[in-house]
Amino acid sequence: MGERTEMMSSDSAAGARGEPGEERASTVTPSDDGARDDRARGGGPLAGGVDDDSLESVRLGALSLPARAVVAVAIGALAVYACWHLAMIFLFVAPSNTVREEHWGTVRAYMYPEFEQNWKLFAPNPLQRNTAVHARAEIREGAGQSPSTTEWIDLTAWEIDQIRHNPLPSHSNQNMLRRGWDFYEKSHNDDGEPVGMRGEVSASYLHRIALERLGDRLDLTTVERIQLRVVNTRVPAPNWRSEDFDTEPTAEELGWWTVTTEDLPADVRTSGDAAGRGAEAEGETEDADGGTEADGDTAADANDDTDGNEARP
Amino acid sequence: MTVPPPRSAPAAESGGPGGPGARNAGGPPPPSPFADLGRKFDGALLRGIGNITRRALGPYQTAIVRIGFAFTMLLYLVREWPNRGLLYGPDSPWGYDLASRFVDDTGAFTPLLWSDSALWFEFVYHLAILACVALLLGWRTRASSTLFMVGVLAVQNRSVFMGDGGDNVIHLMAMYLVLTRCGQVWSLDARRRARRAAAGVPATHDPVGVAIWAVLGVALLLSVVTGSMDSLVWTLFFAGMWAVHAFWWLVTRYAPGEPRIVSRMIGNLVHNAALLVIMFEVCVIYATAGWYKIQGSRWQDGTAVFYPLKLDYFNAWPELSDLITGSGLLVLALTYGTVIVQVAFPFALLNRRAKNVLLFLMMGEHLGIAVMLGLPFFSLAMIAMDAVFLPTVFLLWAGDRTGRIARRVTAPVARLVGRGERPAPPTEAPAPAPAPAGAERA
Repeated sequence: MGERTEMMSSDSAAGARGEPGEERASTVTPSDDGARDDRARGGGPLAGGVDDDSLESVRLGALSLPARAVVAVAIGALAVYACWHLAMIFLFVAPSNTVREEHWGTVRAYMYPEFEQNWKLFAPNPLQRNTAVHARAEIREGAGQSPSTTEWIDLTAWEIDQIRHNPLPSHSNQNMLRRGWDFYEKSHNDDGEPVGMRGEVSASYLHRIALERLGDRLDLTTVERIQLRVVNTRVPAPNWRSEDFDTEPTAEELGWWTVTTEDLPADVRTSGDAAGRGAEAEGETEDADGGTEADGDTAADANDDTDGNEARP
Repeated sequence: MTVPPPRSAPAAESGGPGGPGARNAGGPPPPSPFADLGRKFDGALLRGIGNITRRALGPYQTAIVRIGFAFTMLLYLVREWPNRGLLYGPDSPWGYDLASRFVDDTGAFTPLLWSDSALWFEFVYHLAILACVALLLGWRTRASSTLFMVGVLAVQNRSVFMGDGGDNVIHLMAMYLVLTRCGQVWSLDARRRARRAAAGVPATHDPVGVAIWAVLGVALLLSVVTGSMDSLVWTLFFAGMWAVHAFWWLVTRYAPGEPRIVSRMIGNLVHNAALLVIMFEVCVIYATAGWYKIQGSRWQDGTAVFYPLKLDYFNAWPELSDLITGSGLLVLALTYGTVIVQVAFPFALLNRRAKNVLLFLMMGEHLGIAVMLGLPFFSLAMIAMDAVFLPTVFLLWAGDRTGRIARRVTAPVARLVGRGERPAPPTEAPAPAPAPAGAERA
């Protein structure tokens, strides 16, 4: 015991005196730099005040046994936890591999939701197509009149307009519609059917975004249903390349979406005009059963959504 | 239990009885490179333990990271202030109903979903702004870093689909910063500590600190009692932070000897561990971004940079983008350069000079991305994160310059306002902004 104590103290003294081993430098650069600077200034700036000065002259070996035990336990526990945390991060971002596959449950449970991360920035390949979301609406001006359908309106174009030549673009223009569509696409299967809860909320979300953006152009209180389509256009290859892609836009239509009160932007919802809409829309949903498959699905969505909310704690 | 630093035990034995001298006794044959290894290892280990217990390392680096993220988030929240309701509040298409349903499933922590009242939303959003300001200035850094984290998590987890990579970085760093002593320098805290030390005021005489602690304690209690805070982990974390501060105060006041030393050592250890995690996180980000790119055909054929610049969403300045996308050689250089820098970064940390060069390139690239791809907040967050690797000499120089400029700018104003006559140090005392200046003197 005595031996170890001695070594500790002599060495800690050396550390405080400061032969940092200059060549050791950079793996822990900040630390090193900080420590060096600290010594240069006699321990002052680091502390920024009274108390910390004293720690510089503290010799670990001179501490009592319980004190050293506490410090040792703290070092051990922190080292173990830090290593655990780093291992989890590594496994989370690593490609599928032996260890990750076996312990994915653990990794997942630890990393979600707060440590979730994705750093495949423009990787493995950057996106090479422009995706635009268009919308059109079915409008009924008065009670007795037959509904009319608007032209397709390019919602994405408007967002792009807001981003262009703007040094500080808003997330509402950059991410809302773009990621809203991504979310919708990822949580629907190849037949366009929603997958689980995410599928349902993503459908509501996307249509609510559309309504929010249509609000500037249409009187939303007259809108009964909306339909979205997504138009993908491949970015043409650079002209200094010999590649030639098909850059024809391809469009994919979603089913008609019956607008409920919840779907409307808050200011329209509370304006009173839309008060009767909830019941009306639900009635219509039942009528619309004979529609396309997608139509029926989206309508079911809207209903589930409200039910789901009430059911949840 | 009886062997304090457990990791030194095996090393001590290996360097023990045989002794280094015995092995080298031969004379003529070249000395073994392994001779003395045990002792050197012991020495390094003890020096290391001394370093991580006695000091909270990287005071300037953690301070610049703190300032960087607080500034980024502050700028973001202020910029989005007109859109706040649309992004995170009652006007959001990601309505309270959808968000609640989603978050019930993921279990993410967000006070914004504790109530759908518009007033509550405004309160939380503006509290987040205040937390950014406080953290930026380093005012009550422990409390403000916690509130900053709460604010960041509140908005981001409320509308998770509004975020991008930049938000992701802020989210992680906001959590890590809580565990670092990031207010050691360049902060109002440091200035206050120095002034009080000069005036001989005991550290525990701190009514404001006690008041903040009490208010936060009541807030925590209310959020738990009303059932709003339903996550056990978060409840334990906040309660733990709160209890630790009470303990700290008690120890400082009533147990000046060994308990205080040990407590401060543990504080330093936590700080250093969090700093390690921050540095590792930066490496992970670049390594992941780089290694996955290597697998992409577009990064291989040297055209990858062309495409984001041509995507409508990222083509913020078409005239500028065209300058780059017009040249195949330039695009190739940027494409390969990006991959090389990102993949090389973690290894460059082994060499100080290489690290600094790459850091410079990296920050330059992020400035470019800020403008070219229209991602200023993403880039600011990345730069703030990179700053953890900035060399201290540079930070000291930059801090000094900033302090001088700030003083020059604020001195006439201060004189005008009539606050120049303070008895304290003549030039810097009146300046309200230069937390850097004050702190550096400390």
